[in-house]
Amino acid sequence: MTRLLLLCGAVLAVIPFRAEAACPEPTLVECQSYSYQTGTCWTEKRSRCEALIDAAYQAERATLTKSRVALVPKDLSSATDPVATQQGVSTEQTVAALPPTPYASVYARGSTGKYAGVVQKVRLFELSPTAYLPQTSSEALSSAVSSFSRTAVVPEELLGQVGPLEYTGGVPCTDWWCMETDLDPRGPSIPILPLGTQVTWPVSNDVAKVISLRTAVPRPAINDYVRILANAPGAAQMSAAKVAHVDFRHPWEKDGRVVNSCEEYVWQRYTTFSRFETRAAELGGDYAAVFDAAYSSGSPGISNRPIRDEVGNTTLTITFPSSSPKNSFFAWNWNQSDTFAYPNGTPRKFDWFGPGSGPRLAKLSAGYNYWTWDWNKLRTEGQWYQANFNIDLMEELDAKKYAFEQLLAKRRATYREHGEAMNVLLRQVTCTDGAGFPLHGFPCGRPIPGLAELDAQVGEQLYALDTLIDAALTEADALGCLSATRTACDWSPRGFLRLVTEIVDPRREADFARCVAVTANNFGSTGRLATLESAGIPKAGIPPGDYNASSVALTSLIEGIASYIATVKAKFPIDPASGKPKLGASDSDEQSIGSGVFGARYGYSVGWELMGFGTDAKLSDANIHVWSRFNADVSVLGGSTNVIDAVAEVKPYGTTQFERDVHVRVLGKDLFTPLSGTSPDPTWNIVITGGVKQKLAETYAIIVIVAVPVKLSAGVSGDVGFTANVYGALERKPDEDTSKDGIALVVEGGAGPRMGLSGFAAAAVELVVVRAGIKGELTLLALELPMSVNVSVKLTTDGSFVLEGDTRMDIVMRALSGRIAVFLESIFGDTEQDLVNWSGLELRENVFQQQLEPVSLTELKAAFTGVF
Amino acid sequence: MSKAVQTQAGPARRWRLPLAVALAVVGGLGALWATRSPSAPPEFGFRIPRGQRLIYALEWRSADSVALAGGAQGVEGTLDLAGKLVLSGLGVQSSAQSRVDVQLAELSRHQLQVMGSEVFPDGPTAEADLTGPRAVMILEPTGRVVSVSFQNEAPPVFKHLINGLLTETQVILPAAPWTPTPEETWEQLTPVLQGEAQLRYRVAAPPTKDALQLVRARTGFKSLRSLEPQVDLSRQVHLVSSGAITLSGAGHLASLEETHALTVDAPTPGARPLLRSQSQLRLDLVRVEDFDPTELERRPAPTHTLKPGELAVTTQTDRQLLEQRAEGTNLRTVLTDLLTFGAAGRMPDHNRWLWRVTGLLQLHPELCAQLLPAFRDPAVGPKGRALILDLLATAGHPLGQDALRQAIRHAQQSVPTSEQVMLLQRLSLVAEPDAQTLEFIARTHAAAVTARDRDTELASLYTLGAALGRGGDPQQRRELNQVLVSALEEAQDSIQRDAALRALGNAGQAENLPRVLAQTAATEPTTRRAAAAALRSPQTRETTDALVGLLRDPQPAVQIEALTSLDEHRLTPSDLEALATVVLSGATAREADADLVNFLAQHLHTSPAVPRALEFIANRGPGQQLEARIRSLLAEARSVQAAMP
Repeated sequence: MTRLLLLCGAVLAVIPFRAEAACPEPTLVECQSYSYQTGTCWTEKRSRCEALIDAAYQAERATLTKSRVALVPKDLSSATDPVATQQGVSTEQTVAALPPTPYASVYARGSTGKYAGVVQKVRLFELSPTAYLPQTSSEALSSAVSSFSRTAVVPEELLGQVGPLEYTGGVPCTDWWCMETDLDPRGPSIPILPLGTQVTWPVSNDVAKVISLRTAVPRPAINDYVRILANAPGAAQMSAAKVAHVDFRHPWEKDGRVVNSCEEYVWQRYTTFSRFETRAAELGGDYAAVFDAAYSSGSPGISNRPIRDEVGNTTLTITFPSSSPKNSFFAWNWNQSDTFAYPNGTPRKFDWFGPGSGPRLAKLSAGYNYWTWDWNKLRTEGQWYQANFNIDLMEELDAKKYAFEQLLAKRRATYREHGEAMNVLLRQVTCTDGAGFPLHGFPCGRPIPGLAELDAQVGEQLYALDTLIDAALTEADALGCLSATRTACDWSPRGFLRLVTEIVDPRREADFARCVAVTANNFGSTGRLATLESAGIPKAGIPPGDYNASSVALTSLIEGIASYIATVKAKFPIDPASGKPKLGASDSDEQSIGSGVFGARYGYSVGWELMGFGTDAKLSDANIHVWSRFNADVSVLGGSTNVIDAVAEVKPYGTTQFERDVHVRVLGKDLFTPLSGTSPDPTWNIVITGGVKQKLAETYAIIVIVAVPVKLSAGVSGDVGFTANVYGALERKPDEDTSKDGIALVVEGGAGPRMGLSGFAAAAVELVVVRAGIKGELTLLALELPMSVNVSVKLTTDGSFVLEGDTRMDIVMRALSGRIAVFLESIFGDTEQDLVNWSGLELRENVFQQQLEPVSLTELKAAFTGVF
Repeated sequence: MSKAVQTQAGPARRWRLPLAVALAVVGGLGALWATRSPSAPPEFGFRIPRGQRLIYALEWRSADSVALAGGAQGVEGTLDLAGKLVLSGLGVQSSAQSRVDVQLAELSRHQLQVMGSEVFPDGPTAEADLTGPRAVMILEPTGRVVSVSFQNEAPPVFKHLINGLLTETQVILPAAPWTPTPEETWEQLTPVLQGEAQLRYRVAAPPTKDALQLVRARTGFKSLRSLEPQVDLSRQVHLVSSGAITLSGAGHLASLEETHALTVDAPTPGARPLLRSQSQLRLDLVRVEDFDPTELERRPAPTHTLKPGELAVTTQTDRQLLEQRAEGTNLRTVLTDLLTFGAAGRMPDHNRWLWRVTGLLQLHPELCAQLLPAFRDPAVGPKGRALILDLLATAGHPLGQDALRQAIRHAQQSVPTSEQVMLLQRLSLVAEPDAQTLEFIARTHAAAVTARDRDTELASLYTLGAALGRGGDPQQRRELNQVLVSALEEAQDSIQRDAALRALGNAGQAENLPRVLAQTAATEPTTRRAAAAALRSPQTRETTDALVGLLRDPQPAVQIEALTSLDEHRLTPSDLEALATVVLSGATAREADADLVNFLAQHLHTSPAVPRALEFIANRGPGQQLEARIRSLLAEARSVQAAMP
């Protein structure tokens, strides 16, 4: 027994020693290894490891800060010299371009939104007419079509013309595996339509193209094709007329020149450009062909001629800027102070002009005013660039140029907003001049409260942006884009299209907005337009008339109202529909776009409104409401997730204060917003991979191809943020005597979401002799909706209340733009196929801007008696 | 003459000596024994005895095309394989399962293309990859293949093809031993290459002593690979399938010939089919012979075992995907970027950078700890610190969470409270928080309560709710959920109450619903609004109804919150009808109009009540811009309605 106890004691005594021995002091390499960090000693030796890792970091820190040059994406790294690339194009780039089928599976749902939304839907419709349909009805239609296609036969007159059809939507039916139910091009069994191949439906795919060739139907759009099949048994289930309604432009064609919506109004007002855009939409991602179409002599060409409406009147002459930079990188210029300047009080400034900067500055300066574009110059240069550079390379560089433009725009906006914010601070400073009169906006030699903090905050933002701009320019230089000679960065067919549409778009959006403002898009018998048509506006000299007879007639009404409003010369905006002062502005939209691989949905509602300044209202009861609400979802490989849901609102609460309401939800989870202090303006960096709803960890799509699994992983990454810095002060002074009744309020600040999400993918096939991969990137949704508000009602020294303000909201959006392709490499060469290749929605617009010059509330009340 | 034929006689030994041997169809290839008693009906079951070799002529042609989740184009491939399939019996186990060596030989055609690329560069490579390695199949007496095992180092293409072949041709009898009757039919749910298929078998002709003929066809799929789960298998799938299996009187499979064509329509008309798969497979027994299995038995036991239909996707493939995603990024680049651009919180080509770096951290979890010095580096700044935590949260694995906790601990000592609050909430984004992370959040909350640090207390409450909604074992979840419940019950003011409700909403636990529902009648509008937010998950009849009811709340903010939550619910036409009734009654506030329209626009074609509700909003003067949007939506609704068959 004693022996046993001794033995136990000995064992117990040894245990601590053994434990010590089991975890000897680790080396740095051990600490950095996976096995050590997941082993038993990690907890015990963690602090030692952290010290070692920290020391290694500190030892390397100095070299780390110097070693970064630029981030050159791998897919461009082999083409650092575009000129060299031109001579020896890389293997990957020489792979023959696949037939473009960019929108074969894209859907778009939701409101039309701005006119850009109409353009987007036209594009979708041209490439996949039914894709833009809402899913529920698509399913219903699909069911009908499915049963129809199985029973229908190709009409006799088509038989001789169609064959041989090469159905390339799936497996080509030219070999033994063609099932007997497939469209057999060889025999008399051709009348049997294929099971599941939906020949009746995919009018945009290769079948339609072949039919186009064989039947000489120039473009067998859905109506044409359904008409072809209309004689077939079973066609009654889906008459041509019914399907035709699905194309929202069909009624526009059917009603001749009559205008029945604001969308139709703009469409007709820019008829020749609409035709060009339709052709461009058909061509999808083939921008070189779009370039050629612009220069075609007849329709749909647009070069060297004015844009005309449906009756042939000129509505717009495209005039290019008098000078343009050599490429977007040259837009950074030291003569443009907002590209490099800092607020005075900024403690840290990026050194753009330090030692060694001379050569780059000289290069940039030389390319600032480079091009003087006109239609002929664009044509000759465009042809030269296409002959000398690989189009894929030009398109990839185009994406980089766009990113740089956004960066520079962000810098300019930040600098401009600093100026606006400074003015707000200035306005709050009041001192008196020598005669004792108040001077608003003059600091009178005193420091402006809050300005130093503002300068420091904005200065840091500008510094951060400048580091990014500098990196982008360094990268551009490495890619040859800052060269004085012509490079692949200087021109691209897609850039050409953007150049043209950026001239046309603002005009169309403005016309669309004016139409909405006058008609509310209500062309029915009970709408305002109907009233205007029957009664006119005698005071404005606008007689009754048939104003929706054509876009010309509607334009005359819109311009008549606009010109009358201009004569009123009010200090406040006038609602053209009611003729009353418009003390507020709002906008909302909801869109859902994408495909089964990637998709995005967003919705927003933003605006501000002053209420209670009408004729009968008591001033002290007046209210102001500012709101910005936004939400967005993304879907990857069919799994959808809520990325952000954010709200910022300011509205009066009680008699003396404002209620500020800020809520943010990211990836489906509410985040706490601190109760006090300013909003930290946070950003969340997110990465979402396929099947996110089930599991946030990686989920892959595994595709089995003839027993070989091909594994695909797709994901979305980017950042989302929401600014919510709107604040206010309020004082109500109720009094039964209306001459004494009053209110003082100030609401100012900015709110709005921003997000930039890109889609990526990876592919792997487990065969030793084949390597798979993915190239490219898709801008899934990049969106900014900044709103700034500065509205105040103040009591002046003469005892009157004065309203003044300045509000603005912009929208900058790019969605579904880019290309992701799977490539396989084997010793037989490379091949690649597009997963997505989209040229999606782009929008850069001022949604509203209202400047209220100081106006006394008495004057304002008078205006409410009605202008019309 | 083969041994199998020689052993036909002897009715007295019918159970011990199979008379009809060796039906072994690839995958279902095995020996079939049948009785030969003239008086008794024949019985069948699969069995391949030790030392018996079955040699089949094989022809397999297949063409597949998959449009990735409805993607623009697709991934395509073709296979054309012809040669010999050799099955060698290694013995019958006590469970009556046969162990069978499987080998391909004498290939005359071996074309395999994926996306137009030849997989085999030349004949010798194909021969080496396909005829060199061997597999071992375990076969049940019913014909069901239990497993197929390979040497680890066998070429992946061999594993894919053999397992695919055995999966596709598995013939499963209703029982073993089994006595077939004329016209007898049965069905089996069987894994095939495209998913799980329903197979219907029929005895095609009365069994005779010379032959047993079966026919089979695939009649449908219970699940399909490569496709989104939303695919409607009853409507979108079109299948043409037929197969004939003939067993000789000797019990061998005389022939198997099958043809399948599968098409899965895209949900969107006009889009290419999601999947097209066509295959022809033919097997003919050439001969049965004896062999000495000793040499085969001396080989090392195979270690990589697959079930029929299981894809031989190894972790190596996962690594390939991550390596591709990381695109050669390394720790040094990441640290340099953080030091150079961290203060901005953005990197050049930010989105790609995030994609690459999170790929790297998933590939090498041990690097997470090495980001901590950068986190502690003042040069990185608050935005850079937030970015590092986002990277760690996305990495998500235990080492990532470990580093995340360490970083937050450091921040709790070194950065202002307002930043701490934002950093702590990065834990909400971890996909699967582990037990330590949950514990860490709970401790942080308890400490904040003790220290009366209101912001941290509420932020940790939100975070705890979010983490509980994503992870934790049931026991831990129950315990920590109690923290949220207590916070609600012991709330001193509406701010605490609202925070507790939002935390409960983040957790989304069904057990909390009664408490949340009770708060929909609270006096404070902010509390009713928080309750509306909390009802977004889980979706139940009660929560959907409660949210629709909240659209009548006098406060617009509560109505809008209810709409936001309803966005997370899958609504039926009758739900939308109920919602539209509320709108048509005029109970919803004008301030909610824009949000209502955004909501209804998503359901425009689901219920006729939706356009009615929109019309109502348009007619009550919601402002020109919003009215214009509604008019566009109504025009679209009318268009589609007219197009409906």
